[in-house]
Amino acid sequence: MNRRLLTRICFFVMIPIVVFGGALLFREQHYAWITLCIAVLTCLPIWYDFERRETGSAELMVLSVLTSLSVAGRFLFAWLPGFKPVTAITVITAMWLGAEPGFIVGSLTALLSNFYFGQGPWTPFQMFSWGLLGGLAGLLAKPLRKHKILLCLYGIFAGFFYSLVMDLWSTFWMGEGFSIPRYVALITAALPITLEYAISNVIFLLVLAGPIGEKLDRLRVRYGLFREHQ
Amino acid sequence: MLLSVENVTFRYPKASNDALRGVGFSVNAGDFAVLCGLSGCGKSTLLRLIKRELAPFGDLSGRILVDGTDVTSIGSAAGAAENSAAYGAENAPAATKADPTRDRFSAETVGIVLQDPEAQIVTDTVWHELAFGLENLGLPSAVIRRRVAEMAAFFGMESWYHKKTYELSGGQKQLLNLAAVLAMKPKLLLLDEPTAQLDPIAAADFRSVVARINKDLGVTILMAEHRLEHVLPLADKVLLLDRGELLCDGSPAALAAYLQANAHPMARALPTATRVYLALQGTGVGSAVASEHVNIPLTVRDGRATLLAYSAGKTASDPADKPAGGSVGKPAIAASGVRFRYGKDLPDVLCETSLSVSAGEHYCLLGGNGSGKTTLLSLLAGLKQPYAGSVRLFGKKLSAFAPGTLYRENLAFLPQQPRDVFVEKTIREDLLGAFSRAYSHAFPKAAADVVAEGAAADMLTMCERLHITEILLSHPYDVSGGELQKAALAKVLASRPKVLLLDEPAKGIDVNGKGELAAILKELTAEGVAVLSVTHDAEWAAEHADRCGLLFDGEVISEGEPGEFFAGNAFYTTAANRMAGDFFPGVVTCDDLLRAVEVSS
Amino acid sequence: MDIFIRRHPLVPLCLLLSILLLAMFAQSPRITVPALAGAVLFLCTVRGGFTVRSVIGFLLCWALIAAVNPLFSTGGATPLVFVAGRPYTREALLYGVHLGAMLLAVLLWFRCERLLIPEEHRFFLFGRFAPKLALLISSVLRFVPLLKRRATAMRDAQTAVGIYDDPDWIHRAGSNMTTMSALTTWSLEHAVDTGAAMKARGYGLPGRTTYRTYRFTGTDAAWLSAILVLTASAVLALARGGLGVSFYPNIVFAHADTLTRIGVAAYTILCLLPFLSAIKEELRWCFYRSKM
Repeated sequence: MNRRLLTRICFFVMIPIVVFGGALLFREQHYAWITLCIAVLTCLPIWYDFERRETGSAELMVLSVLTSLSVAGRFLFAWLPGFKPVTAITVITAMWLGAEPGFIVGSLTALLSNFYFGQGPWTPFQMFSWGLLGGLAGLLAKPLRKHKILLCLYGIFAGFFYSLVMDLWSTFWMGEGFSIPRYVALITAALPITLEYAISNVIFLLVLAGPIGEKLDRLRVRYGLFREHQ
Repeated sequence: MLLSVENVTFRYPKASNDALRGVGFSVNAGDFAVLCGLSGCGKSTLLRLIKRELAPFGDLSGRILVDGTDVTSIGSAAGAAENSAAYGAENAPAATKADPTRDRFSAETVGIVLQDPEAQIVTDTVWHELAFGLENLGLPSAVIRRRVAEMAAFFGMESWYHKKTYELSGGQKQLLNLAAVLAMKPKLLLLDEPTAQLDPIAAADFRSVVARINKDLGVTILMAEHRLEHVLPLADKVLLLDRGELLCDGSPAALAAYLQANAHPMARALPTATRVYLALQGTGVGSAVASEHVNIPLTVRDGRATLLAYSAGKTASDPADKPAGGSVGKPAIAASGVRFRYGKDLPDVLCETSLSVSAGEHYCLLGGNGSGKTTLLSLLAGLKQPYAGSVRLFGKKLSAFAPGTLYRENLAFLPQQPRDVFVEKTIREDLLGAFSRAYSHAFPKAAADVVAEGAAADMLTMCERLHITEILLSHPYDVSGGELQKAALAKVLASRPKVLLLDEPAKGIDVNGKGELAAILKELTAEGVAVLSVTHDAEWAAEHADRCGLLFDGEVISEGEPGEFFAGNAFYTTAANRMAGDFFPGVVTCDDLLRAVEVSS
Repeated sequence: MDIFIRRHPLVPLCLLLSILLLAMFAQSPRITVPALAGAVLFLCTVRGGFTVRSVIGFLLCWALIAAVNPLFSTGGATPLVFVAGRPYTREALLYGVHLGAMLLAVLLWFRCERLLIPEEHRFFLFGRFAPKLALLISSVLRFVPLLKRRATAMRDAQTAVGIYDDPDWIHRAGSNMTTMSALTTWSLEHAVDTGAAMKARGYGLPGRTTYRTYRFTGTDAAWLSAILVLTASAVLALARGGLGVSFYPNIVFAHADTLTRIGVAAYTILCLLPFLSAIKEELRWCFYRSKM
């Protein structure tokens, strides 16, 4: 009871104070500050919800293994920069297990893989983008599973979404306010990488969706995992 | 009576046979009980039924009492939530809520250590792993701290207490699993073939710790095992399961007598000392011996005493005749002066190592952990490159083979984990893929349907030869270790290799499986294939190799056919040789010894 | 590095957050310079702080940002050259230099993170508030090295049955994909086994506790209040506008009154704390050795 009250206070009192206080304090950088707050604050309620929900041991381990797979995947394909299965595994998790597991896998992959690849101010935004891409795929699970074309489109969308979010943050942070030429320049400079993201997402989704989905189905049928999400 | 199993019958959903039929026995507090039987006899099912959190779903009748409390999962079905789906979603029984009181009782009272050391570790550090179960029980942190400290001291793990769990060796991992379970102070410890994945040294360590837990702490132990050589001397009580039925329940001596009398396949798994003793009895000479040794000998020490009593008044006889080893022909695969290290600043794992294997020969490379034998194998398989020296296949350097030719009709490699070979949903799909590739390589101009037909025919021939036709439609993860090993061998043999490299082929397979595997390898060598197996298992090497070598510190230090190789070793040798070396110097395998005993009587 | 190993993990965390947030958002050379200096000094003192390669990379990055900025902002009163008819100004160049320094300072402080917060403590701080997440993270950190090892073994096995033994990149990517797929099967089965082992050890029983708890000692309180006071004075200076600087058209620093100076000094001390602690440890050892 006490703890819940504390959490509520935290959510409804502290957050506005932090966001607006920060925006006032960092006058020059309030855009950047607010974007950072949005990225971090999107994760909190979802993590909080996950923390409170009861998760069976096998379910927890499946989430752990999927996160580990997408981190290890970054290593496996480290020789092709920008070519990484993180988005694909996040999306596939969300398609088969639901929006929340998708978000958790996506955001945790960002946080944990950066312990190997280097933390930086980009970490919250990676957590936000991958988490959100997972959550969204969870909401679109049915059509995505039915139509290959939609899946491909989602992969392309994911590649661009990820890039645009990252560039948006860079623009806010580096420039004075929002400068459109800077944003355009960043997007243009990042275009090859963005395209690579999009293409690799599509390839990974097409190659991995079937096998991983089958295996997750096998787990669901054989061990009865993740039933509530369906 | 700590554990009592009363008339338990169990059947998996949709199965046509009972996995367990009318099993009933009891184990007293403080006993060390061994549950033995061939793989698939129901050992694991029984252990999992006793540990209610792991109980499989199915039809169960009878009762299981632990310390007077009924732990059977009927009704409140703790496992139901997880396993109900096995019935198919439509007629799955409503998942009842787990019963927290009985769950807590089971978590505190019954501990279990399973076969795979890797799969039971949950967290990333050793100390957290030790604390994990105690955290689950909700103990205050001061109590956890004390228990963890006690465990670390009892197991002597202070030096690796701060390590990451992934840095540990297999043996250390399994000890950690044991320590983590023991920290919860269970009264009953269940062990499901805990040493099957370990090398002999680590396995011996593990067994001695288990014996200490039993003797010093008084924890009751029920251990499932199919290799009896080392556990029988520890056991107070042995239970023999065969196709779900309990055939024998008594002392090790009673088990030995039963196995011998019924010519049960498990008789081959008995300790060498016991087998020799029983053989002597069978020939009539033994009756005199038996009067002096009331107990059946189970260890090398007792076996020597038996032989000593038996050979009193006789002179040491000549070694039994053995067929001369095949002549050493031209080397099929040879490493000469190879050097390898894993990083520029790391020490050499292999230094000027040379080894050659001829066509038609089965060569066993022995060596302890860290001797570099797995590294040498991957060099020979062309998976890693030496920084000096060369590996030649039929005189041609491995690096000189054009891409895509080395692993076609030349070289094949079976990894330690046969699962690694499989990537498809069924064994059939995987094999078919491999055989089609081989077929289209042999007949490059064949049409697609011809390839498909030819490949299917080839595959069936191979599967019949290896007796794996029944498991073709199974998922590679659903079959037993021995079956999977044969299936992996089938896939590897699809390319008709002339050189076959095997990494620990006999690991975790029961006596039947080992025998079948050895027969297949024998056929292959007869066809002229060169077989190199890397192993820890001296018994396997002694029985099936044409030539053995010992790798130590990156160097092959002794080589020879099994007779001379093992006869020259005092410690690194087989139980039969250690027992009978003084009487029959050339004897290295149990069968040799039995033969020698028969001849000289 | 274990400067803060005996401290409650809140201490290094608060220190790092204060330094980082101000360095990221204050936009002032009066903050950037001490932040950069503190990070560089600390990284030079401890082992494993810098490698030659990383230094070159950082410097190149800095130079690039500085050089590119004037191409976007044409503000500033002193044109140096004209590029495609647009002025390339001194002020914009200096703005770029400052921007690069700020980025560098932030990156370097992120680099300090792994030296300041011992890995064992990193997740146990929020292990109290989010035990499930902490357990999930702990198991991921165990699985990743395991999966990497399995991946190598599986790729070798695939190579040796002759599927992907061509060295070209299409085969390589294909073999990695197959490995990925096989790895998925293996790891999901493995997850179920691990889940069973967890359950056998009582996971899911009500009333779970955590072993690793940190006692908040008097020393921790002293550290924490010092950090908070220093941060507060820096924030005060920032809030009063004392740290403001405008680059265009001419570079003008806000007037620095006493409070601003105190604020900047406080932030400087904050940034030097890790360095000073490292030096203290070092000296303690030298002294100790001289007595041996």
